[in-house]
Amino acid sequence: MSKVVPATMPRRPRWYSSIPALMVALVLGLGYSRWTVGMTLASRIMFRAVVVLFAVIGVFQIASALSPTRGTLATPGFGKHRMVVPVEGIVYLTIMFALFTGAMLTKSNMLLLVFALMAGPFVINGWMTFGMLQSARVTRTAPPRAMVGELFNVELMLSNSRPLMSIWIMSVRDTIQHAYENLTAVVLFARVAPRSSQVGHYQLKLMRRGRYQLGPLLTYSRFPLGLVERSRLFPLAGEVLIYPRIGRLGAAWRRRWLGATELVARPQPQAGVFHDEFHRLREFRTGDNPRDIHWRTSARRGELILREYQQNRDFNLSIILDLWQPDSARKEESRLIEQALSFAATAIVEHGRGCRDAILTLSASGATTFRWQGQGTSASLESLFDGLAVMNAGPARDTMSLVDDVVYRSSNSTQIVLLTTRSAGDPNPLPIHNPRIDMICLPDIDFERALIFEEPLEPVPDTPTVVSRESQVSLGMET
Amino acid sequence: MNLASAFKLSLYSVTALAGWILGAAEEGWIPYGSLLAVLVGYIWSEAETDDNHSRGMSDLLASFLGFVALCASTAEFFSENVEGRLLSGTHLVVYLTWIVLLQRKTNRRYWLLMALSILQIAVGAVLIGGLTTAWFGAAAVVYVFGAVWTLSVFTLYRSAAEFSPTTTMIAGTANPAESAAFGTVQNESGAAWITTPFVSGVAFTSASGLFISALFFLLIPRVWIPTSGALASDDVPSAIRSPHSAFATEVRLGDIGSILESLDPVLQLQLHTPDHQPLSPQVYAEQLGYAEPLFRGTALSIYEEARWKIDPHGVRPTKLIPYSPGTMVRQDIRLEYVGTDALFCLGTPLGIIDHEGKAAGGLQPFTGLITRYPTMSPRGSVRYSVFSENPKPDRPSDGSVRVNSMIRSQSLYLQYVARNKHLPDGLSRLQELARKIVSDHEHNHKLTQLQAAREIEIYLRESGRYSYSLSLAVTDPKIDPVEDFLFNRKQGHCEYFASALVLMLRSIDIPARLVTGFKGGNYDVSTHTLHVQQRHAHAWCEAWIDQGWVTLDATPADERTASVESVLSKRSLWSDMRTQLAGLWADNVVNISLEKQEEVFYRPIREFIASIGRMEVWKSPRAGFVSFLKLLVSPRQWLSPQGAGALFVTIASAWLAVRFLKRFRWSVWRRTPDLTDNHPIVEFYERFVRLMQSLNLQREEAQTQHEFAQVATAVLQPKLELVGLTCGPTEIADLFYQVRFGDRELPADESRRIEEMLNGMEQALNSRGA
Repeated sequence: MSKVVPATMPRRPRWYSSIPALMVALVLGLGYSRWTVGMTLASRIMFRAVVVLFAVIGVFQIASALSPTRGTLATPGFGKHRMVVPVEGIVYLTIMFALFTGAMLTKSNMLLLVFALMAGPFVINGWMTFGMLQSARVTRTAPPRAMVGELFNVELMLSNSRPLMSIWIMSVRDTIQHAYENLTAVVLFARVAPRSSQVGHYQLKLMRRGRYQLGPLLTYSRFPLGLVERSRLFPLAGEVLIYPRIGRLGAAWRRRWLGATELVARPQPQAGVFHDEFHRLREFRTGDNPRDIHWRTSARRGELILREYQQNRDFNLSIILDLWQPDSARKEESRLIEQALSFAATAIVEHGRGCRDAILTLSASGATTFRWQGQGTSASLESLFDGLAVMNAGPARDTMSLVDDVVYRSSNSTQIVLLTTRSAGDPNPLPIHNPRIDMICLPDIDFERALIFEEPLEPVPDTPTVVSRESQVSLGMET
Repeated sequence: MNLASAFKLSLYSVTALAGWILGAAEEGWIPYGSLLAVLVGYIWSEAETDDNHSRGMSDLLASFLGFVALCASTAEFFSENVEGRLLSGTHLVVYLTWIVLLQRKTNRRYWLLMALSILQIAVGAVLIGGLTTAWFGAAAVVYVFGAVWTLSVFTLYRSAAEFSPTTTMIAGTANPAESAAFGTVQNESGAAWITTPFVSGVAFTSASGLFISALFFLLIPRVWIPTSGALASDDVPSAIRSPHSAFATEVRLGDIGSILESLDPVLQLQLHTPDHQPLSPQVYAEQLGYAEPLFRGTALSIYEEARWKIDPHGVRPTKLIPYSPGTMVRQDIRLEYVGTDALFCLGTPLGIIDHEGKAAGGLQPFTGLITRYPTMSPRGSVRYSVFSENPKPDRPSDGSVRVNSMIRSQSLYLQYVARNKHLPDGLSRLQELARKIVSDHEHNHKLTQLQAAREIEIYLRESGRYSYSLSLAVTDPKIDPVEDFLFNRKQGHCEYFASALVLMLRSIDIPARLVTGFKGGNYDVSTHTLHVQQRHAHAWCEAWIDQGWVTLDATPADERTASVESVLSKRSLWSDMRTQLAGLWADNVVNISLEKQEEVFYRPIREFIASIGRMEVWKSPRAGFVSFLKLLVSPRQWLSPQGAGALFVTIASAWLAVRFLKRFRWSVWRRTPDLTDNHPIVEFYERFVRLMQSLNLQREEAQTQHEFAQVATAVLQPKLELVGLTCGPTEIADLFYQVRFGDRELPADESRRIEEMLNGMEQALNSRGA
């Protein structure tokens, strides 16, 4: 991967930095006629060149300092441009320098000719690269949310505003930053025709929950000669929120979940476990249970009328998440936190899928406290996942108050589950004695059976350290 | 053809071209070996093996061969003379190119190959000499096209290789435990990289690169770095300080050959007797002791490696003022620029004046070269008049160049004469031949110096052993070209005859020097004008005998005359064009100087800038504007410089105005709010949105206000909970719906309550402690 300059903005020059150069130019200019008396023509030309050089430097500095936006007056957009001369460029420049010096020492026009033949393409190379970067505009379209381990695309659109010149071989490098890791992704655009756009994409597979900051975008190119790498920074920020991983509950836990419903204290209607709610009255048909005949209505209407019941499994679920973690968390404990969040998210998703009208509540206690109430609709779940994405583990001091609050607020038809990262044999166990609460201690269960993922859940590093990775490149092509 | 093949073929072709150019410049066989190495390298090292790797020489073997090449070059450096030292460096570059060609290839080695080919071109530019190097310019232009193409394809190749399957990891094979980013390539042409737009783009790059190169070359001031002492005066033409020959300060044997085939005019001469009667140049030449009109250039004294050079120890020229013009022959001359600052005339000049009657030149007493004064144009044709002796018919001159007794008695001059006796090493056969010729004629008495010199002159010119030819084929490159001429080839033009005579005279201790100039011409009787062309260029010998420089010419006169005449019959469009090109090349590339740059570029630019300052518009804007309009409305004046300037300014201003208006319109359009979206603004909700924005929460387009409120609640819950406003966002969203869509007007107390709620939220969310 080519070397790229860090994405920092340049310091704006002060206006007074131009004074020395302008003063030198002024003094030399005023003294030109006096000091060049008796000088040779060559010396006078050199003298003039020095005066012009200082004047140009001074004007450039003052223009840069006075421009309303950084560097736009002197050289439009120059402040965002960077230049790196790779080894090839250094060798090329060295040869050029040697040729020029040799030509000047040996008074050889032929050597100077070779120098000029090298210098011309070099200048054009710089002009083309600068022009391409000037005319380039980049935009990014990234999904706002994704799940841990989910492969998703980020689109980059490179536009060329120039009427005549194409953009060639331009790479766009995006930076993906998380508290614990940094990644970069590169998309190579082979050509963007004049006044057109091309959409490229890179793929991300993010394995850490939380916010990933995208940007800034860096466009860079070495085209055409590969002697100079110029880049331009686009401070285009973006964000992707990574949810906890969502799998599916294991069969045993699904049964436990359903079994738990039988333990919920709730009024049982007449017609058994699944014919539990009155639905409507209808005429009696052969084969109907005669015990369901509503005699009073039958008498009033003069025909047999039957009471019909409808199956109803919708029951409310309230999960209390105890994200307890000691101060010096180890790898295993960090993994438990992720498991707890995944478990809670999966349980709510599955419950919401089964009981569309059920009220779902999640109260989490960790470094901070988080409460959510909603239903199993996707819009509602989105806010839950947003909360879980940024939830951090901690001392979980509010767990007991959350438990009391949930028990107090929830009706008898609500199933309450306490999911804790503490072990049952913990020295400071949670004093839960309420039989309504189904307490699940994650360290004590077989998590791989409880929650099943399409891909196995990999452990996160023991100690969070910032990891930087360059992008791997996929979707190879014929060359 | 795929990208890799195209790149490799381009690179190897460019390397071969560089080898060929270097070989042609060096005129040796070693650089041509690059062509074979390129072929072998391409076929062998670029062939893919079974394991998809290229073959090639191992690094160890390459290092060993590099060491051997270094040793060989070092040996060459210490065993040869100055040119040999340069060639040793050249050959080292060539050897290294061969080694890299045969090595296993990596991107860095490909680039090294490219850099070595550039170095070969540079070394070729050093080795090549003389005026007839226009082919080098053409070859260099072709090389630039090839090099830009190769480098551009190389950039494509490297970029594509970074994204190729062999160097990348497919998404599915990445470590599932680690986050990963997978870059891709966006290519509108699918798998094709070299497309028509790419080819045309590279052609544009090359052409514009060459244009910039030309500007660089023409505008870089030729302020050479002085190699010794302080800056020499550039105001005086260099010819005054160091005399040039008629062709150059340094003449390589064979250089004159192409000049002899040129019909370019050199000078026109009209002779007048002291009583102002026309005089035939042929008659006057005979009076001076010459068979034909002889125009003397300079004398070259130093012979090294087939090159004649001027003696560097000259003295300042003496001024030539005609003291008694009424008694002298007057020569009115119009001289074209022939790549030198020398002035030519028949015989020894006694005075030179320009058309204003001022002194126009000086005579270098050692070499006899006439140099023009700065008052005369250093470039282009010049007119001047020379006053020379009027020999009496009964006492014709012997053709020798007389040297003032004051000068020839100086020790400096004696040293100069002694230096003209120097004979380089390695010319033993030539020495033997010269002594044998003299001894063969010394039957009973010792020959005088003049007799000995004449015998050698006759031997070369009239013995029939040597013939005149413009062919320059070398029979034995290992020996000196003069010996090759004398003993192998036995054919050559005036340079070879003159060189052989000079060296043979030196072999028998007679100081001698080579003189270049022009001989003969076409006399137009009707205008009494002698027309001298480049084909009349000639070289002869001067021997220091009896305190004077005796003119000796060993070239077979008849054969030379026939050759000069045949040039006219061989004239064709191609030869004319070639001659023109060679002239342009010599004038504008090889011999470009600060004076010419000043005359052609710098002064016109300065004058142009000064003319802008003097424009009428600065003095009287109204009058200037009126004249500007007049220029615009009269198409006849558009072709004048002023009209073209006015037209250019108008078009440029219109273009800039359109561009500015477009930008202005765009910026105004961007700032104008969308009036079609005439929604009432719910103030409290706007405040809520601003508050959320300050916390980096932005409602997405597909999100309803209610969903946004839920997201905000979820994200900000810990802070909102502290102030009991967990439901605040939802409540604000509800009220927004009522106001925005239900047209409800909030009562004052409810508005106040919402204000307080927003204040509370603001405080809680912005407080650090929370």
